[in-house]
Amino acid sequence: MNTYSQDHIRNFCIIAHIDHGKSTLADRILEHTGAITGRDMQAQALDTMDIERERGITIKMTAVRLRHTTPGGEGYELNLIDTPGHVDFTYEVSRSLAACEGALLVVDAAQGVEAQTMANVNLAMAHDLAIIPVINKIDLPAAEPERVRDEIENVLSLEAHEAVLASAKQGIGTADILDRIVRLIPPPSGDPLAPLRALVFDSHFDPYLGVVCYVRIIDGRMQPGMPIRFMANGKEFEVGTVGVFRPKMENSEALLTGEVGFFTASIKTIGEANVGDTVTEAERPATEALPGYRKAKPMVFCGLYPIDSKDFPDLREALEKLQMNDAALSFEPETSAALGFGYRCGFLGLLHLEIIQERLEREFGLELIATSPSVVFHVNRADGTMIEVDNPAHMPEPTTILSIEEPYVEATVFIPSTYVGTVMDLARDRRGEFVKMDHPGPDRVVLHYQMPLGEILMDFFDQLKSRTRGYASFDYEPSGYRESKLIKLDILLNGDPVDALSFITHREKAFPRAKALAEKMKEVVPRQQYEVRIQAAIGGKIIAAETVKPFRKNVTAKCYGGDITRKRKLLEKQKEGKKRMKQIGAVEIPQEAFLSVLKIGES
Amino acid sequence: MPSAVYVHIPFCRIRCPYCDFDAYRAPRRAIEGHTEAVLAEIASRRHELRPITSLYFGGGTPTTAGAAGLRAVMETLRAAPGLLPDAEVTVEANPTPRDAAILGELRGLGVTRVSLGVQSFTDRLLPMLGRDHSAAEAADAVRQALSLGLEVSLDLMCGVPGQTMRDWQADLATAAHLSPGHISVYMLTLEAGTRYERLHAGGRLELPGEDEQADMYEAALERLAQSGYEHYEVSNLALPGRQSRHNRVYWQNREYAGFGAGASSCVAGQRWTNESHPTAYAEAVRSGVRMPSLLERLPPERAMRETLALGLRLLEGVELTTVRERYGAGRLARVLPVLRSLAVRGLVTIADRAALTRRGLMLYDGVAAQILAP
Repeated sequence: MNTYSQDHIRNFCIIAHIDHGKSTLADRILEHTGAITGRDMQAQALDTMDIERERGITIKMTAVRLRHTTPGGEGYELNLIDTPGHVDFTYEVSRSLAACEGALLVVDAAQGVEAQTMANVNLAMAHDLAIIPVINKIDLPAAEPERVRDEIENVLSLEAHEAVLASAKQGIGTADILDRIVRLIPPPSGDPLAPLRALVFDSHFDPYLGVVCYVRIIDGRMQPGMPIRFMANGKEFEVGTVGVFRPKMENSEALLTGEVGFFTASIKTIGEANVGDTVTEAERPATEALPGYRKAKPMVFCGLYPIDSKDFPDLREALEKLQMNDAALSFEPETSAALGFGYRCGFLGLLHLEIIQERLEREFGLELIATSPSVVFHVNRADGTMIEVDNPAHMPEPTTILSIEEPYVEATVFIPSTYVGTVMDLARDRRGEFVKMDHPGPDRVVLHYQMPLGEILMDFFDQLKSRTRGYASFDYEPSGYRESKLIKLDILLNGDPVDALSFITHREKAFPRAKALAEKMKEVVPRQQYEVRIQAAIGGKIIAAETVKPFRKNVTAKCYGGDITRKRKLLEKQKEGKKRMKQIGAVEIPQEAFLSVLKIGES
Repeated sequence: MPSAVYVHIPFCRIRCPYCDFDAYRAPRRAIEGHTEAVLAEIASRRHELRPITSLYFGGGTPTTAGAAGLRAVMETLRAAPGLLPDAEVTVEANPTPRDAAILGELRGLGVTRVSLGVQSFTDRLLPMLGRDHSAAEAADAVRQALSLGLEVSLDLMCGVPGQTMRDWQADLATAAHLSPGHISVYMLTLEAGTRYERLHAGGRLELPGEDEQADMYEAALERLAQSGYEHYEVSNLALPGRQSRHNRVYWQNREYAGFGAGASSCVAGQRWTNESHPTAYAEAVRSGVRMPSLLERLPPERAMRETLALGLRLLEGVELTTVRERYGAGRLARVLPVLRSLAVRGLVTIADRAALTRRGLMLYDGVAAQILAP
């Protein structure tokens, strides 16, 4: 195996807004450097999970080592580190950026700069990366590279006059991009003689090898047999194998300063090898860990309950399996009077939640009810203590509460200027506080708002998309906790409160939301044998009510000789269908009723 | 051994957009070929049959087989196992001039009863129902049948596209005025695979709502009661003494033998449906290699549950002593708690018979599902 000297190594990533062509460009680069041939390549080789490929988003990153020879005949080792493209995974993005010296910034030549473009560039600048702008999709009829160049300069304050004009789809510009990676991205600067410091920027669980850690060697070297220590949690292991991805895993003799690769060390759970942690040599430890480590902290919680209570053990097993590869997923058993046994699960954000739920249903065949997502509230109690509440059902009695704080985010929305009014209305409706407005180009506006995260969970993104016909792009980052006048709204079915339907809302929003929720519930709860009364209450006081009238009729008109078997099969099928409903008392509630609360943001 | 025989003629001149029965449009030769196969099937299965108390020609449109075809079938059955002198012989027909023209001939063959697919007496609604007759022609066909001394049943549908309560009331008045012995009232059901279902799924079919349809159904029971019709089964009403004997066999879960493509039989604890495609059916009969579908063996407990569920469709209900005699006290005891819980919920009454309440009638499918659940 060739090894290259440190000054012939380039570590880079690709950053882009969703759908701007990041994965396609990665594929081109892999092809161009011969890491993969067109024939054995599935489109978008770096995204290995089905859901990623389907949704066109990258969830798990991969790091690939490429050999590149310049036209002048010089050989370079390029490490391409793929990053997830979504706001939920900002921390993971920041760790992979920390493993690089440079970034390719891909911007769609028709769409221009979007919210995640900006978020990612801000992150890349914070890590002091060399940024190479690439204007992609120049083959599109709607491409306006000149306008996009201006946007990159105006909005991102990046020098874009020499931006590469590319079409990853057509393979235009790939050679130019590789040339610039070599020319513009600095080589890694670590000290080969210093004690080992390796940054863990991702990991996955392998049933045979244990946890496979993806690392960038900042200082020193790592080789098999070396005793190592994770500096944040102090755990020690002995390195089993080291190697690189090409893109398949390939063992090597050592990982040297500046290199990117993987190691295994019989680590049993992913929780022992946290992303962002620094690995050092146990016998000659570094004095200082690399900066920026924090434990991934779930921001959004919801209850997951099997529709069939028999599936409870299977749900646990499935969550455990998913957690092996996803340290950010947390879960704890909880019980609901209405739904029985389930798990309170914590996620990085809504997308993370949706992905996990989808995988549980698709890969593990579980039928689940998800309660509406909640943020983590800080509840200051009269006795001077503070508790964190991530389940509205666990909100203490109002009389024992001094104040409640909720998480806020700084939200950034990119829109064509014609939609400013409607988006401002939406933001105001969601308790957004206007911060400022920028004009990146003649017809484009960036709005900055301070908003409660809880409001964003309530269908904000869908609303934003529908109000702007899909033209808005949106990103947010946490900006701390603030006190708000919040109350718990309870939902009663035929007079009995259903804990899983409770939610926390701002006092001023309580009445309209109670009304909207009762109406929405009336829509989704099917007529059944008995009347269903739906009520919304604050502390026992009913503030909204709706009634689902009982069936008038449910009767098959024709039943003769040939119909009997068919009708019985139909009745059996209907019974199956009912399994997708949850029986609460005498009332049958469909899955979507539990998510109704998300859909009431429309004013 | 069954004494009730059903003959299925799976052909129609036109396809109704709400109907999910197997029905094909075919040239005369194909229809004749199918009739030949029916004769052969009867010959091969005649040992299954007792002398016939009721014979029912259904479809499809059985008149597509022509008077000659129906005659051939009847003669074959008369030869063996024999048709009892007071047997009920029903033929389904369309209330068109074409079908009306052969009613006399059918009467001559020994047909005693016709079931006319009127569906509606409202001219405005008939094209959307895919019917090829006018309201006046339908009324003429009914009068013609009655004047021939045939028992007449007519089908009416409520909840069809564009129908108002006023249309429906007028239909009921017309039907009552014509005074057939038997009237079937069907609430339109969107069946899978029909044109209506596709239109509805595409948002291109406006139907009266569930409440409106229920109102229409209840209005029919009320209006026809005023004219002396007794409501004796979920969808069937008759003047005193004029109920359908053949259909009662199904609701009492007795044995029946079905001949023809797509016909169902229930004999000796088994139920099955013949090959549904006429050509496949004819070929199967010829070769003797039968490929029935929906074949079920009916163990006693299931049979008992079906007897209860089907029997409840009759407003008179099910005699529990009969059920006990047919299936044994032990099995009946297993299903009694279900009946009791349905009674507590006001859906059935239990005395020496179990019967639906008015509310139970409207929610019959739920009741049946509970009883059929193993």
